[in-house]
Amino acid sequence: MKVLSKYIGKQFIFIIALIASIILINNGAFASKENLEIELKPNHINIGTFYNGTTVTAKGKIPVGAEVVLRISGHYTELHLKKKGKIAGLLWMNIGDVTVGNVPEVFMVVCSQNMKDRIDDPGLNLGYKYLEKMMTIEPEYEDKGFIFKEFVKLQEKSGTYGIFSGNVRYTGESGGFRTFEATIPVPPKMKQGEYKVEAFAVRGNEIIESSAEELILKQVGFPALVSKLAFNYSLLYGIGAVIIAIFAGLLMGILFKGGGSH
Amino acid sequence: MFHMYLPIAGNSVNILLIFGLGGFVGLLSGIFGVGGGFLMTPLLIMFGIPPTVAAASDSNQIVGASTSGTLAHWRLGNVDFKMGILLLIGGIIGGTFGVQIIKILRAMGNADFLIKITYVIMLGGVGSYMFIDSLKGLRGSTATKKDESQGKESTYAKMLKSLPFQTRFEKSGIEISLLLPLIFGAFVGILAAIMGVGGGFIMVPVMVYLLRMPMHVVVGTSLFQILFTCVDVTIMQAYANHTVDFVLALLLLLGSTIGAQIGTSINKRLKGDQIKILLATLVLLVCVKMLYGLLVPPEIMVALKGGH
Repeated sequence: MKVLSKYIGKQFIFIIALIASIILINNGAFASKENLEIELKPNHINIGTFYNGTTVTAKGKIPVGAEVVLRISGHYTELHLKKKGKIAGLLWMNIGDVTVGNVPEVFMVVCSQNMKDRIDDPGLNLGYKYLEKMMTIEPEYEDKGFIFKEFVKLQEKSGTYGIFSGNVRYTGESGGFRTFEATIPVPPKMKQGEYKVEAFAVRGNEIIESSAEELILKQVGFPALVSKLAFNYSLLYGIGAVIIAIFAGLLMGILFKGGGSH
Repeated sequence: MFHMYLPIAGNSVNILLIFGLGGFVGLLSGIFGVGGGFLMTPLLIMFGIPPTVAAASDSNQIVGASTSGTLAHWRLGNVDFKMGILLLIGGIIGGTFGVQIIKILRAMGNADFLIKITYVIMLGGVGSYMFIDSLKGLRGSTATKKDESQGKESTYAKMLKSLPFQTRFEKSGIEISLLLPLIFGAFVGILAAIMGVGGGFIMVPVMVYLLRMPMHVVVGTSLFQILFTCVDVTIMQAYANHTVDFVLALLLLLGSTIGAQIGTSINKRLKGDQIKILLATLVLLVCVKMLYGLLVPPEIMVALKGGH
C-alpha cells in the first residue's frame, strides 16, 4: 500500500510539473506574439480587370536592439523543368527533364540592409538556403545545388522570388520597443490564393520572436468570370473562344471592306 | 497604366504592347499565309506568359486572324477550298501520326537534338532555295530558269501525271492527283507535330514548289487551312489543359485581325516573287535566330516545360 501511494505521489508530482511547464511554454509563446506585432495594409487584395500588381505595407514593433525580417511564401507545388546543356560540345539545348517538389510559387524576403547578408546564417535560416533544404528533386542523381541555383534565377526573373533588402524602415522607439514599417512587393504574377507573411525578430544570430499573418489575393469581376468559365465549363469556354475569334475576324473583314481597301 | 490582368496566364500585360504584337504577326499572316506562332509564342513567353498558355492562347488568336485573312483573300478569289480541305485531311492524319513518332523519338533519347537540327537544316534549306529562286525571278532570269529546269520539270510532271485520281483544281489552275495534297498535307502534319509548330511556313513552300500553285492562291488557301487547325487546337487545349487565356487572345485578336487585313492588302500589291523573297528572308531570320539560340550559352540553365 505504501509503495502504491509513493508511486501515485511520484506520478502526481510529474503531472503537476508537466502542466506547469506547458503553462510556462504557452505563456512564453503568448509573450512572444504580444511582443512582435504585425499589421498588413491591405491584407486582402482584389485582382480586377486592370490589376498590375501592388504593394502591401507591414507595420509592427519588435524589442529594441532587434532587427525584423519578413518572409512571404505560398502555393507549395511541384514544377517540371527542362535542363539545358551542351550537346556534341557545341550546341546548347534541352538535355533532360527535372522535377522539383515542395517549392513555393512565391518566396520573398523583406529586410533591412543590415540583415541582407545574414538571412542565411545557420541560426536564422530565413532565406534561400532554407528553401533548398526543403526542396525535393527527381531524378535524385541530379545536382540539387546547381538546379536550385538556376531555378531561383528563373523565379527571380519572373518576379515571384526575391530578397528585398532596404525595404524596412525603423520609425521610432518607445517603452523598450522599436516600431518598423516594411514595403512588401506584390508582383502581378502572384496568383490568387492565400499567402503566409511571417515576421521574425532577430537579435545576434538567433530568432527571438516570430509571428505570422495571412495575405489573401482574390480575382474579382471579369478575371474571376473568365477563370470560372475556363475551369468549370472548359468545353463551352473553348467553343465560345473560337466563336468570338471567328466573329472578330469576320467583323474586321466587313469593316475593312466598308473602308474600301480592296 | 494601360495594363490588363490575364486570369489564366496569371500575369498582367501592357495592352498597347500586346495589341502591337498582334498587329505585327497579323500583318505577316496576311502577306505570307503563315500563322505566326513561331514568332508570337517566344515573344509572349518573353513578356512573362507561361509557355503552355502562350501557345494555346496564340492558337485562339490565329483563329481570328486567319478568319479575317481568309475572308479578305476569298474576296480576291485567292482561296482554293477543294485543295485546302484535302491538305487539311492529310494534315490531321499526319499530325496524329507525328504525335506517335515523337513519342518513339523521345523514348530513344536525344529527340530534342534531332528535332532542332532537322528544323534548322530544313529552314535553312527551304529559305535559301526560295530566296535564290525568287531573286532569279525578280532579276528577270525566268526564261533561263525555265530552260534549266525543263528536264527536271518534265520528269516531275510525268510522275505527277502518272498518279491515279487526276482532278482539276479550278482556283489554282492545276490538274493533279487527289492523293498529292493528301500526301503532302500528311507530310507537313507530321513535321508540324514533331516540331511543335503550326506548320504554315512549311506548308507554303510545299504548295508553291511541290503542288505548283500560284503564290497568291497559296497564301489564301494556307490561311483557310490554318483556321481549321487552330480551331481544333484551341478547343482541345481549353478542354483538356485549361491553358487558353481568352483575355490575352482577345487583345492579340484586336491587333491581328486588323494586321491580317492590311497584310492582305500589301499581298495584293506585291508580285509572287516579291512575296517569296520576303518569306524566304523571314524563314532565314528564324533559322539564324534558332542557330544563335543553339550556339550561345543560355543565361539560365533551366526552363519551365511547355510551349514550342
